[in-house]
Amino acid sequence: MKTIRVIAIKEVREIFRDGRFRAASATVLVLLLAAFAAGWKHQADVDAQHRAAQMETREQWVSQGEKNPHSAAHYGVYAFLPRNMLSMVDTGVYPYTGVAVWLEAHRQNGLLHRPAQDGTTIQRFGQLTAATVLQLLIPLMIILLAFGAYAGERERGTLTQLFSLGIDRRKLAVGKALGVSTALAMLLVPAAFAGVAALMSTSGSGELAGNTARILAMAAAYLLYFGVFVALSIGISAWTSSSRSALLILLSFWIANGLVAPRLVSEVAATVWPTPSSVEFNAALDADLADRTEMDAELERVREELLAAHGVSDLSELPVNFLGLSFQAGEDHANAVFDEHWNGLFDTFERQNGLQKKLSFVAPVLAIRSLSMALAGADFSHHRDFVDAAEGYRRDLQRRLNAEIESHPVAPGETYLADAELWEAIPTFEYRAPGVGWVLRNHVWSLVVLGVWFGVSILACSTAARRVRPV
Amino acid sequence: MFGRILKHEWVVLRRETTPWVLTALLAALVGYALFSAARWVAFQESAIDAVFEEESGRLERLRTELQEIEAGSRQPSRNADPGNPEAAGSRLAIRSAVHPPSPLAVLAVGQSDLYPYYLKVSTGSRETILAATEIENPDRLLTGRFDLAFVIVYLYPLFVIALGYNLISGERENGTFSLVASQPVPLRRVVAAKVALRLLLSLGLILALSLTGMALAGVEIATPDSAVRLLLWFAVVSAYGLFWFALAALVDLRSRSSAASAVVLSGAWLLLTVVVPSSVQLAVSAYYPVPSRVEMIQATRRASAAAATASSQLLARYYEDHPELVSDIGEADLEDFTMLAFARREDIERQVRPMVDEYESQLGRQQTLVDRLRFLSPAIVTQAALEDLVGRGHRSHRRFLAAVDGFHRQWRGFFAERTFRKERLTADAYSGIPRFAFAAEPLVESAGAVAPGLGMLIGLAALMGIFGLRGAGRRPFEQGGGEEVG
Repeated sequence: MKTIRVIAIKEVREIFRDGRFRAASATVLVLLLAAFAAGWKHQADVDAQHRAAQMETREQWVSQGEKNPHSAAHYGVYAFLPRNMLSMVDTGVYPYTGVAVWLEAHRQNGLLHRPAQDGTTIQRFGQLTAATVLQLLIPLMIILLAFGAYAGERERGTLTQLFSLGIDRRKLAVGKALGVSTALAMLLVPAAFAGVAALMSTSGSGELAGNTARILAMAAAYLLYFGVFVALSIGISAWTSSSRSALLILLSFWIANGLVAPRLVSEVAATVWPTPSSVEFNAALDADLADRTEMDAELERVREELLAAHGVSDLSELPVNFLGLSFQAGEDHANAVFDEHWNGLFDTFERQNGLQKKLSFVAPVLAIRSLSMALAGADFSHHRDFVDAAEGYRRDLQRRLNAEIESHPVAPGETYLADAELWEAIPTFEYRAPGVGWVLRNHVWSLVVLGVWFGVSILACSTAARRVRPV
Repeated sequence: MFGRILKHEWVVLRRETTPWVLTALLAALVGYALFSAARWVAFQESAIDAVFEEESGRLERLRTELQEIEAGSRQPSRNADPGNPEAAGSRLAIRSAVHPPSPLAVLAVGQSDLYPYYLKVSTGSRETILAATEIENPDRLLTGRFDLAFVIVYLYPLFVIALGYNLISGERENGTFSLVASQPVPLRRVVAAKVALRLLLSLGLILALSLTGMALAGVEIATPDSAVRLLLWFAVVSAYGLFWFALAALVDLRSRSSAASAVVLSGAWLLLTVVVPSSVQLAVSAYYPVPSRVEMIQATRRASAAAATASSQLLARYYEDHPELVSDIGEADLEDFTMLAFARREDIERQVRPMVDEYESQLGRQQTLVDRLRFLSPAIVTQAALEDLVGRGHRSHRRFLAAVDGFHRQWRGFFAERTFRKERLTADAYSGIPRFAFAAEPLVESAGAVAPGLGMLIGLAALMGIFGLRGAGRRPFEQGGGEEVG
């Protein structure tokens, strides 16, 4: 144990003596804190705007005045996408999905206003988030810290000295890994504290407590990811003949992992499961919506039955308002069509993302990326969950309003008017994101991939360290 | 002499494995990028064809229906009467404004996956029209496309670094430096030859592959406009490559070992292509934050509620704004539903306008800041230039939106005039319904937009070249070994 400590202390001291490391870690720390700060501010602003809007839309709904329930159905309400507080770490797909959906009669709408469309020329470079720093820059720092761990000592001739002392090779490797990790921790621990402090100040303790499991899972996933890089870097350094080739191999891996793999895998996924164009999607949807023969026949049957049951010959003599039934039949018909088409589309996206997840064994960044987004509540599955909840609310709203029309028969030429009492009786739209268990169940594969990468790199590192040649 | 050094370098380079591996890799990446962009262009074109096909079919059906109504063989439907200008302009006869991919579009996907390229224009509100989007997996939008601009901006510099990080330090480490230095040739000429050879090889490769790929994708570069654009595109790529080679030579001439120069160069790459652009993005959105669009949704809703309660005054006000529409019919009909629809829409827009303007001016301020800060990184300058030259960037999209704005006004004017004159649309009038035509940015303007960036790249490369080569003359005999770095 003592040997390991001595080696680790020597590594840390050497790392800190290097001016380049000090400059690089200062840069990374500044970037990480800036990304945190900006993410925190943005998250707080957007969240406040969305909460205020959600309250206002309810207020507008309640105070819409006397109206026929179907007019109210057309007026509708908006559902605003709430943002998880952890999106200050990873904004995930938030910039690329809309921010609000209009819940109106007859139609399931898509989300409006992708924030990324309000972009500038450099939109495509992506915004600096804490996640970018953690997924791309920290691994690069690890590589720069560790590529000379063995190769450097060999080139200086100190490795021969070390081995002549009869040092345990395993302890040497552990000590070196510990040294690199300690240097890294000196950078990450303060940043993590700053992050948690920011999270605490943004939100009530309740929200933070609700997200503790997510935060811990995220921290664990990132530590696993960094572990892969520490082990790989030290392993490669032990395995290669010179520090130059160690650096080149590690840099190539870093580029392939962080830069090439995500785009390439995304292209592959979209080739295997092509996304339809919106013109194609809407044409198919509208065609199915317009096909109402089955629905008309069913409605006609209900009408006959009702007339027969009440022994009347005209709809106006019924104790119920047939219009309500007819509206609801329209909704039911449309809902089946929406289910088919929207679910079909979302299933395509899920398949694309699923394929990406499956291919994540080619590059650990793919696994950590989807895990991090998911734990931040900012991945497509969370988006879909919100869309489903909003659509569920819309359907319930329509059902209630149509039932209200149905239970108020009116004389021909008259319209039933409802007032605030009805509007207030409709429950408010409230959305709760699924818990961490759901996220982890969705991402078992990513966890496995990260675990396997970690295990394999530890194995590779220890093999290389055992076989390392002093000259 | 220079030619002889080049030839000698070529002989040496040819016998190494690394350049061949790198060449094959670059070829594969360029090829795949072109292939994938060509598929995207084909997808866009087929979507646009579908838009036009649906549109002409629908308009043809409406015209036939109207002819039958005019002939008396058919009763107009109550809420879908093609002769009613309000119904036609707001729903039935609407047309799409299309932003077609330019002839050279395969060279960059750019931001074209993010922006809608067909918008349905109706008499409805401008905001509703502009809110339309193409369907896409948000995950894919986040990742970005694997296009040629990506390969050039991000990956090409890495190839340059891999080919150039050990120009001189490699000779030192191999022990061949003394041989080179003992030749009766200034060292700067040797370095220049090494850089020239690698630059020519990599650019030749990119050009050859791009041209082949474009030929395979069936791109026509016959027009002088496309040819000049392609030349400019290639000039930008060359200048970007030159910049990185100059940087590599400068760094390598000054570093202790090849590993040290690899560290510095990859650091520079990370800084210029990843850190600076994303920090600029961060700074711009922190400095000029654009509020979430939810506020606009809410403002529109408030305005609609207000407009609904003040309907009759609205029409009176509309006539004040459009006196030309009153004269024809004499007494204004303040209860006409279709007229009210026009008046209400304009009123809502009037109320929401200040907020929309605020969004747009804030975005404008962001873009101005980006335009200034882009010179902080050659990567930003190059990305923007590569997109702008082929009409796939922000600039081209702004132009499209401006054209849609104009078309929307024209469209509204056309139907408002007929609605207020209480004039039915005839089957003949259908052929007079406005059509949208997108005019791509003139070459002169694109070139003007690209020129400063191109100048900057060349200027920086020249500065570094002069600086680096001067240093090369000064310490020719310094020997270095495989010193440890890290």
